[in-house]
Amino acid sequence: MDRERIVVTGLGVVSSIGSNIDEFKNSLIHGKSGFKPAEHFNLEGFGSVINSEVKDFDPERYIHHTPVEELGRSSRFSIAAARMAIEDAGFSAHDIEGEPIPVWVGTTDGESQSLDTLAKGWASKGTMQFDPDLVEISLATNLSNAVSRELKLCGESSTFVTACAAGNCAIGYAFDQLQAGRAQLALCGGSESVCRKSYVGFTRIAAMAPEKAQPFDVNRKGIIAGEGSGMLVLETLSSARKRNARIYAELLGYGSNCDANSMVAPDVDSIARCIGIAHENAGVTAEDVDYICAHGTGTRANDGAETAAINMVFSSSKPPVSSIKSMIGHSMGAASAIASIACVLAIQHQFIPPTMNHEITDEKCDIDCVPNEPRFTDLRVVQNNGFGFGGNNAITMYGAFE
Amino acid sequence: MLENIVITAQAKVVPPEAEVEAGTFETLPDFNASKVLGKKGTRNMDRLTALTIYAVSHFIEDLSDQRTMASERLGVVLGTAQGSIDSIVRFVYDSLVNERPDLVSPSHFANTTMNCAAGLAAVWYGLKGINTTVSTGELSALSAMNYAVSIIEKGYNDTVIAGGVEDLDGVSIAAKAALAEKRGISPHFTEASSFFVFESEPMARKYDRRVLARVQGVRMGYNPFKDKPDALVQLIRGLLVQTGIPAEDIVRVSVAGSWPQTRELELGAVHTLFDHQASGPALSVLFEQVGNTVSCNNALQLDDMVSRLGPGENGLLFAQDFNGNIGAMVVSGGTK
Repeated sequence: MDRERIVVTGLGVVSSIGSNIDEFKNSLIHGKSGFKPAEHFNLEGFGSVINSEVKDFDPERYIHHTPVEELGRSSRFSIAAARMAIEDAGFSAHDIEGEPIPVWVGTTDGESQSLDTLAKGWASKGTMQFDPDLVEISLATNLSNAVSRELKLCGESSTFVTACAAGNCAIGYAFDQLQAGRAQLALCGGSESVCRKSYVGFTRIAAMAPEKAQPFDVNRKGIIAGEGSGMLVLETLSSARKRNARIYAELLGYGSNCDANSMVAPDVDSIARCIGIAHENAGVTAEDVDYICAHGTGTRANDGAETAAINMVFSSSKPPVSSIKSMIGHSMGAASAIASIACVLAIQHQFIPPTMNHEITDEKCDIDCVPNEPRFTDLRVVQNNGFGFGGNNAITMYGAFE
Repeated sequence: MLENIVITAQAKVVPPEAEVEAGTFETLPDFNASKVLGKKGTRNMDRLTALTIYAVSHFIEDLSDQRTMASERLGVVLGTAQGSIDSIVRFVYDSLVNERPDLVSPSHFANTTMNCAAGLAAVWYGLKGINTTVSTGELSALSAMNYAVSIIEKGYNDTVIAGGVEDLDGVSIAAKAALAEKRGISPHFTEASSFFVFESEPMARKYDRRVLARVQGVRMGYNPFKDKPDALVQLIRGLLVQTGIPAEDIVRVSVAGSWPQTRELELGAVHTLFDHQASGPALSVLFEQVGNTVSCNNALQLDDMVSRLGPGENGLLFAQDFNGNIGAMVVSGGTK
């Protein structure tokens, strides 16, 4: 039996370089930076902090049925991106009410700012007497449940918490469930907020850059913390055709595995294996890949390991490799979902987003990182890398729809 | 009906039997990582991770051939609503109360990611297949098991350890106490860890493992109108049609019964589905047996079901959580 092909029919993004698809696309092409002084999380004890926050986000623009004060920041983002994606796919909110549309959202830290606030309350009061409303708001499951509740959807509603591979994990699972016939249409992606927990942690392990992320650069100093949400409408081809949907691209498949080695340092062999699994599942070979949207965090460890893994797999014909984290920072669990949107736009508009802030290539990162300027070229197969703490790896493969 | 997905091992860690008493938090007495797992590699291990690895340690020897020969086909899927909330909140607390915000322990940073338990279980036992952690409130365990079944069906992995885990530790207890107070009931929460080995039947035969139960079907959903009973009944009816097993052939039913409101909906569903029968199925309410184990609930429901079903007997377990997540699973007993 031929398996259903799965296509992307809607996109929604909340990001530090634009919270609508056109603005996001133009920002990617022009190498716009989201890096600015931090405003939206508890910076106590730190000097000036540069991160990549979502600017001018008005939740009430997107959230109509849920009191905004009952939602944490990450849930507000996921609802906004989901609503945008659904409308982009050609549905009104009324069309989908009561429908069995599943919602799968990936995240690293969930409602991290709410958890930060629980800690702050404890530190201020000296006791663990938590505000019950805040406890309720801080549940990771809310990132998906809040979308289902707001849009009145009846499909499965789960949050994948597989660190910085989570966005691809959610998208990959949606792919599987659609192919298995468990739904015709799914909302999937990732959501994340900047938070104290993450800033403290990455600073403590010397993986936080002071001003900018410089993936693959010899002087790279680490990540810039980012946030946002990327949500995709995935659909079976037969469903998309039946309603004459605009098809952005095809999700060819994905691969996922676990390093089972270090909890924080990437494993070259395991990543190379994951790339191979993704290619096999997507029915492509290394030679078919026209562009790799890298995990490219800008840490010493990741960029070196990612390059080494790419070299292992793409021995003869290495495609260009760029990192949009050079523009939007590391949005953790949302990263590979926002990057998925970048990949789909890249295929549709035939461009490769640049790796910005690139000054001197690290000779250990011997890839064509598309430095500082976009490249306009036909893209047919695009690979989207996502690697996380815990050794979780997930790679999605997108193709031009033919 | 799902083709050939079976359960070939089960293990659980729960406090010894005690009265389910309102206003209590049931913890494992004298439980800590180094005590149950040894001193090596456990100094910084959080309680949630320790509960996970300890449960898995009960059956991991059964998988030793595969771990040697095919570790890339061995996966882990773990259900947890919030990861180690104690690790997360305590890490931020330390950054606020110490002299400088970066005076935190770097070796605790990994504990603050919600996939730490699954990731560290993979490190401990060299499990290089798919490794996923899923949060679906009090349906987290069922989501995890549903995911495990899905990746085996797709052929991504051959054998997957899946289940749920909930710890009671400092922040976790305080958070649950606050929630229960808000919802106007005295809590009875219990920490627990429960995991299973899921695989295809040919794989079970290949490694000569006994089939404890056969997975007939799993279905998850969401009820945005959470006080209306129809969604749960419809989901279960849909699952029974999918499995080809009519209600009359179900001999045992398990509901979670975690909160008065959700218990009412679940028992209402039992009445709607089974009341017309002359002799209905045996009924278990998990809360009455062990309290609310949150992310471990559905795993313990399955553990109980698998232990009690006779060969070929069909069982149904389901739950609705406070936020509207709903799910159900049908299994049949294997050879004992």
